[in-house]
Amino acid sequence: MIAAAPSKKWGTGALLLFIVLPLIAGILLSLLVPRPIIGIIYLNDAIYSNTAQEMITQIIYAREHAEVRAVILVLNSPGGTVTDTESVYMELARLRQNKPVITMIEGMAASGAYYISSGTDYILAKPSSEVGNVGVIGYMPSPPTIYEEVYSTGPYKLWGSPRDTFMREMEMMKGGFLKAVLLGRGQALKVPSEVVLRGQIWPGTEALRMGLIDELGTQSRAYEKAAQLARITHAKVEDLRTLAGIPSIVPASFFMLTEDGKSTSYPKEPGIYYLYIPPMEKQP
Amino acid sequence: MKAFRIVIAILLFVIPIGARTLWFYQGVYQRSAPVITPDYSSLTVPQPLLSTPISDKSISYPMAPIVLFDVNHIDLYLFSEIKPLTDALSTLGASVRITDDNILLSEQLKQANAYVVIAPVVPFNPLEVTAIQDFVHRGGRLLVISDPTRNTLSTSSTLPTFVQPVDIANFILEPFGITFNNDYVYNLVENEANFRNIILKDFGKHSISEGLTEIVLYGAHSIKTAQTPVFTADPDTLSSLTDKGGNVVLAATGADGNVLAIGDFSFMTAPFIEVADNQILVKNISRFLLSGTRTHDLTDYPYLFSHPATFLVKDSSTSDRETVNMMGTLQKGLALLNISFSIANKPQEGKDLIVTSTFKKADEIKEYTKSFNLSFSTEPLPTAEPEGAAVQLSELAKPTPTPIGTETLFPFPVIEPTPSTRLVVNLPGFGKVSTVGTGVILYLPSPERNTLILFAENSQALLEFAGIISSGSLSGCMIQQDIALCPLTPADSGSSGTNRFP
Repeated sequence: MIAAAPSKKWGTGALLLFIVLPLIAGILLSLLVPRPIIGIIYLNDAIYSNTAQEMITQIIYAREHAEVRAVILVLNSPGGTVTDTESVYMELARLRQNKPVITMIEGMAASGAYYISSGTDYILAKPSSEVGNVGVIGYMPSPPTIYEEVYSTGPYKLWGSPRDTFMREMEMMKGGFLKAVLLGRGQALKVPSEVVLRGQIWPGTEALRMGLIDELGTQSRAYEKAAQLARITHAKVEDLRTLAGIPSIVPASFFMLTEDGKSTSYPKEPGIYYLYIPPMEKQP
Repeated sequence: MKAFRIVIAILLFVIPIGARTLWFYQGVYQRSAPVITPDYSSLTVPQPLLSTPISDKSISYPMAPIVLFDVNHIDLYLFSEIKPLTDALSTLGASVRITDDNILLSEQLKQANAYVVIAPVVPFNPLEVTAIQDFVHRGGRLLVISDPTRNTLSTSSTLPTFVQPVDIANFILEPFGITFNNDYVYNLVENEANFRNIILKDFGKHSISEGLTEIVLYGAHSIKTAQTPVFTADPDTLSSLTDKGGNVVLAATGADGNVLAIGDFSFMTAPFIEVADNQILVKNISRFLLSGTRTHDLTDYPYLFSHPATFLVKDSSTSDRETVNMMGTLQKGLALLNISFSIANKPQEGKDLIVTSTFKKADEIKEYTKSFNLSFSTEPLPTAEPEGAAVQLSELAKPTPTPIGTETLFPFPVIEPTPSTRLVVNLPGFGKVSTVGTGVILYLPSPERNTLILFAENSQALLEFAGIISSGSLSGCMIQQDIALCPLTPADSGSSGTNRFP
């Protein structure tokens, strides 16, 4: 009696028209509401042309795809070239206008990698992650000279700049690095600039005390934090590299290789770097 | 009724969409604060305070003081790098030399006024260390520079490995109470374009810091010294050993100001020489190197002369064949040492002096020998001594006690010995020495002139003696400070000195 009443009232046609069809349409259309994605960008190498370009591609993908609601950088990097670091940093800044970016420091976020981290909304690290190494490093160019077989139209056409200019430009870049850290960390930073500029690498625990990071945690905690900042739940965690369709190519090494093909910690090319280079071995 | 159905339909349409949206999205992300990045365009390249080149009036000396630069210990510098210093030294009239690997350092230091060691990486041997100490104790100036950026590079491995040369520099500095610390200093608060480029503004009262208001050192070791430092950095300058500051010394002197240690080399090289007062500092260092009171004794022979030499010929004396021959021999020998030689009947201003005499005529030149307290006596000819044998230097080295009252001592005039006696000279430190077959050299240094006095038995022996000293070495002689005894051929031996030194 009770169940028959509506059918009498609505009729089969009306039931279909006003109940079933809107519901099915609503369900189907609701599927167009995308499940939010927390995009992951992995960096397990130095920051140089190849890796930076891949990161930038992923950042742009995240910026242009609405379903990507937050991005997590998972870093294990000693840093890299100045220009490539700045490129990634500035692309991240554009992304952050609309989406939160979290850093999860795995093994290391040194120098340029920390530069990038400082331009994110929240930084997590493991207790023993290596964090910091704020500063610039470079190999002084050779003293300018001329060669019998090489002609140029100016004294620094071949050498770029006077030797001491190289050192002074490094100081300017250091200033940029420091500003990035100060702006990025803001009130969270608990140590003066002089301490930051020591270039020291600190373990995650110490970095937390100093305000270089925000929390000690794991990747799953990073997902939670990203979701919290982006105000999303039940998000999918996706590798942005896959989403952006970046092919897996083994790039040429950024670092110098030993005769037996092992990678060293020293860049192949002379230049100015936001890079952590471990101390050289002692002579036996 | 129809409106109700429409409302229901709309609700049923919207609810799944809304539910899914709410399932995933709890709100709209909005930044709490704008993203701010560094204003890169405001960043500038720091520039140092440059100074203009300083021109000094050239000075010349009759005999240029010699500054010897060490190159025998794989010193990590290029000669072209020290051009600002060598130019400053040349302007001040100095002769710049580098060490010769084939000659003992002690021999090379004999003629040097200053010795400069920059970033050596091969250790000095004990003989060299002793020679350097002796050099410094006799007024030679020693400059030791170590620099943390001057390390030896091993090519045995693909990766470069560093060895600090401070220990090697310390090996020669430690006897003077100075050591370099195996560190570098840095300043994160105020620096010249880099944390390791230290700006110094406070200077101790020292000739090295004269006229300085600000200098910059480009990567420097700190120095440990108990003496008054020359440069001390401000409290913000820290040592890499401790990351602590306060009393970080970067230059120090020792050995009564004859030793200068500086913890940086780069400041005197281009282009850093042009920064702040670094040029003045290099000038001051060059003056330091040339302002020592270098004293010589006979162990420094033949480098005893600082002026052209004059051979004294008394008006009262007549030059015989041997004397003329002797003068020629001396002139030839001294020419090889770049010492000009002339004859005069009295000491000349600005010229060193060579005086010769036989023992018997010692009273004629007593004005030059009085400070040596020479005295003469006669004693019986020894019967056991082989005829004509020269006095053995090993015997001469032992001071002979002079029994008081057993013989007559007569400073001057010298008494002619009888056929059964011989003339002996009593030399302080040597005791009594037979004048037969012996040559005596006395060296009398003074600010006005250095005087070399040669005594021998007769003119033949003096000619032979001139030949010995013209050879440039007193290797066969017994030397004790300013007195030397040399064996000569005795007059009655039958051989002629002129045969040995034609």
